[in-house]
Amino acid sequence: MEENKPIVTVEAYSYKDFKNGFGVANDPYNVGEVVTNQSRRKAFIECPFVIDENFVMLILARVDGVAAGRIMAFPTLFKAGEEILHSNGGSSLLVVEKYRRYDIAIELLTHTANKNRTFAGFGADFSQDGINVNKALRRTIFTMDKMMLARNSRFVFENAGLKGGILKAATGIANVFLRPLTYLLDYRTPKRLRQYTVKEVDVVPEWVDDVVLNDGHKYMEVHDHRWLQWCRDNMFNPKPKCANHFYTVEKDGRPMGFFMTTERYEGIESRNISPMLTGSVVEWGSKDEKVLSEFDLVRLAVPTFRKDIDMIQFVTDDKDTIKKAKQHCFIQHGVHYITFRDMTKRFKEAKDQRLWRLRFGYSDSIMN
Amino acid sequence: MELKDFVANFAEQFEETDASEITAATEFKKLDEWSSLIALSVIAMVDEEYEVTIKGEDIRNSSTIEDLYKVVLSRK
Repeated sequence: MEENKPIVTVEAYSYKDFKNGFGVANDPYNVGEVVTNQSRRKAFIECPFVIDENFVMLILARVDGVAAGRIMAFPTLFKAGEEILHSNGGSSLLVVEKYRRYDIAIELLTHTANKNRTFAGFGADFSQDGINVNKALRRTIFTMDKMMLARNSRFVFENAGLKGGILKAATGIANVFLRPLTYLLDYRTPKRLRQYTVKEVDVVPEWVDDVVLNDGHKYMEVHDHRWLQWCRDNMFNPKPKCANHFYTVEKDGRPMGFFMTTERYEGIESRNISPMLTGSVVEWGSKDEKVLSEFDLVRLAVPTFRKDIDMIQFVTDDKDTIKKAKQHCFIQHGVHYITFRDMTKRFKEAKDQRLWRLRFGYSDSIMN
Repeated sequence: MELKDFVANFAEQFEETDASEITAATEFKKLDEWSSLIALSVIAMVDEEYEVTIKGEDIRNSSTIEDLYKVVLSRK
């Protein structure tokens, strides 16, 4: 007996729908939690780059009427030389396991709901499966090295398979040796950097726009003060000890740069590593990188994290920064991916990573 | 836009299937190597080579490569 072919349908929900609020019917797998999750809904409504209330923010796929998958989008800006173009960032792709054989992901990833409103697309923070999908879609993929500084050795031993009392003992002994390093990095700022004042602020100042937009790179996702404020003020899943912070760096009262950090729980299920409180430097900018470099800003960021943080990380594609980081006991531990899609097909040079201002905090990474 | 070129471009999306096995009459979804990833790469290929947008529904509703070719041709 031939199996009845399932009926796959797609629904699109706009910014206007999000503002008015809506529920997702026939949703036994909670695909629509992105709508009912108040933090996520707030984040999407507060997006500073919405110019058209009909911008589609949620594509929902159904199989025989049951909510089976979703993808979200939010407006961003793409700077290409002197042009600034409306683009979109992708977020929260999900397909319920039992429906994956119906190629729902194809429907979600190739939707054209915002085709006439956006000229480029961005994505970030992908798993290997996500990257394979982006490769199949011929999107430009940028890679940056993830650099990590351990503050708590627990995850190293968990990765090696230790559990229970042995894990606790090994961690306790190893952490004794980590403490002097932690002390040096937290309390012994190099003399050259002591001339700078680092201040956490609640309102992102407008002067950062000049630092971001004129940093010498031809292409970037625009992270101006509005975007940075939006990311600072929102988290998709707020939890205790999790936070976003924005800091200015000044010298003699003059702004010299900034950095932004997040504190989140991150675990690696495949390696039995339980969630660690991870501090990340997700954005940074300097008025003059010859004077205040990327690693200088990371170095200034290290003491700003909570004292009970387990790990500090940042990403970079700059060889000099990697070298300096390793000299300060950071180790390379994976790769961060950022994807880009040029819908205009005009920007052939945009495949060259060297022309891009890239940061850990691209697309929805900071709010995630 | 020639059918034979379309078939050749289609065949290039497969890594393990011999190109000689792929013809206009091939029921592509029955090929062993066929997967969602290859479907996505076909969609991307059509967009890049022919500047035509096709979606999952177009792939679902096509049995042979020639069926899909006709869809793409109709949108050029």
